[in-house]
Amino acid sequence: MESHVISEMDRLKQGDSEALHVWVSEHYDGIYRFLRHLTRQVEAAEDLAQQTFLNAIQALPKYRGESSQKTWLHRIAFREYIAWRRKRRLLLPLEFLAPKEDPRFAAIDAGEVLLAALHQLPSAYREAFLLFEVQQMSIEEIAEVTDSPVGTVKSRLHHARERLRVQLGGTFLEVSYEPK
Amino acid sequence: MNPNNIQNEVEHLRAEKPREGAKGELIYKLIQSKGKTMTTLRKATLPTLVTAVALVGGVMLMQPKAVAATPKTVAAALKKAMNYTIQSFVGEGSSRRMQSVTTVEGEKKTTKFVDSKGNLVDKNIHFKTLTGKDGAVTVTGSVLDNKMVVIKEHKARKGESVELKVTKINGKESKMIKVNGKPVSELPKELKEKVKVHMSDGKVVEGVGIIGDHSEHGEMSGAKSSMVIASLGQTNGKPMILQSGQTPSEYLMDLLADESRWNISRGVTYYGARLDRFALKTGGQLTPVELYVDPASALPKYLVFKGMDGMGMKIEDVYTYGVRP
Repeated sequence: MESHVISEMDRLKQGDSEALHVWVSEHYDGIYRFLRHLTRQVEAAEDLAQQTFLNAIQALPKYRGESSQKTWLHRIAFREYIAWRRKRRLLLPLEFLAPKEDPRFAAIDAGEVLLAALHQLPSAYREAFLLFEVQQMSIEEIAEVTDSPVGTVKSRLHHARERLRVQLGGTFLEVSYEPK
Repeated sequence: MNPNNIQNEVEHLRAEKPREGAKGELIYKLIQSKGKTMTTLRKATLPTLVTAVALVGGVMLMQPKAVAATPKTVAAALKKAMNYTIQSFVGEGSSRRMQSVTTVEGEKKTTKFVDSKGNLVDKNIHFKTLTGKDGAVTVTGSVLDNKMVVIKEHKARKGESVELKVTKINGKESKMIKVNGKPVSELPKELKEKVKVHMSDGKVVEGVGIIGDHSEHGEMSGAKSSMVIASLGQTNGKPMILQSGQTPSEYLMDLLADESRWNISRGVTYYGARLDRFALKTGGQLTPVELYVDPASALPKYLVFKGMDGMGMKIEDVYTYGVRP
C-alpha cells in the first residue's frame, strides 16, 4: 500500500498528467464538498478546491505519507478556507429566495436546513461537525486537520450537537467518537 | 425536525457533488499548468493563474481590468450591443418550453413563434424601425390565434397618441383603437396613412407584447397559468439573460435599471472566469435566475437557470456581441 502511495506520488511529482487526472478525480469531490459546506458558496468552494490542489501539487515533495492523503488534503483545504474567511467580507452573501413552502424547491433545499443551522454555530463547532459527520473523519484526523488537541475536538463536537439539538429539536444523531 | 429528517439532511450533504464541468476544468488547468501552454488556458481566477505560472516558472500574465459591474452599466452596455436574440419561454410546472425567438440585428427585429412541440406556428413577424422619418414603424405578419397582440402607445408625427390593440381568438379578430387616449371605432383619416390597424404593412409600433397563456410577472395564480420568461442572447440563438413579463427588451432594461431587484456578488468564479453575479430577487414563485457579468465589459456572460423542480441548474453558453462603435 505504501509503495503504491510512493509510486503515485513519484508520478505526480514528475507531472504525469494521467496520474494527476486520477488523483484529482479521486479526491476532488470530498474536498469540494467540505469547502462548499464550510463556505456555503459554490463558487468560493470551487475556487478554494482549485487552490487546494494547486498548493498540494507544490507541496508534494514534502509529503512523507505520515497521514493519509485525505487528511493531508483536508488540512490544506482547511487552511485555504481560513484564509478565505478572513477576506470574505468583501463579498455579499447570496441568499436563495425560493419559497420554502413550495415542494418543487425541496431538492434545491435538501441539506440546507442543517447547513443553515450549522452556520449559526461558532465556526470551530461547525468545522468539527462537518469533518466528523459529513466527511466521516475520525477524531484524530480532525485534530490533525484543524491543528487542535483531540480533547478539544471532542468538546467541540459535543457542543455542536447540543446546539443543533436545541435549534432543530428532537434527538440528534447518536454520538460516536470511534474512528469511522 | 425529527431525527430521521436530520439524518436525511446529513445524507444529502454527504452525497453532494460538484457541479458538472468544475472538476474537468480544474484537471484541465492543472495539466496545462504542468506543460508549456499557459496561453491556452481559459480565463481563470487570478490566484490560480499566479500559482499556475509559479508552477511552470513561465509566462507572466496581465491582471484583467476589473471594474465592478452594476445593473446600470450592464443596461448601458446592452444598449450598445447591436445584435442579439431574445428568446421567450413559457414555464409549465417543472418544465419550460420556448415560445418565441426574436432576433435583433441593428434595427431589424424578427420573431418566430413555436408551439409546445417546438414547431413553428406562425410566419415571421417583423418589427422594423421604431422611429422612421415620420415616426412610423412597420409591422408585418399575422396575429397568433388565441393570442392578443398589443401595440403600445405611439407618438405620431403631429403629436397624436395612438394605441392599437388587435385580438384574435378562435379565428375571430377584434380591434380596439384609441387616439389620444379616447376609444374610436375607426382610425382618423389623417392617420390612416401612417398607421394600419391590421397586421400587414402598416406603420408605427413602439412596443409589441405577446400576451398568451401566462400569469402576471412574478406570480403563478393557478394550475392553468404559467409564466413567460425570456432570455437575451446572441444571434445564433444561445440564450443569455432571463426576463419575465410581456415586453422583452424594454422590460429587461427596466429590470436592470432598478438595482434593488438584484443581489450582486463581486468577483465570483464561474467556469474559470472571474465575473460578477447578479441574482434576481424574485420575492415570489418565479424561477430563480442568476446572471454572470464580465466586470470589464459589463456584458453578461452566462445565464444560470434553476429549474422549478430543483433538478439542478441549466447553464447556457458563452457568446459574443456585436457592439456599436
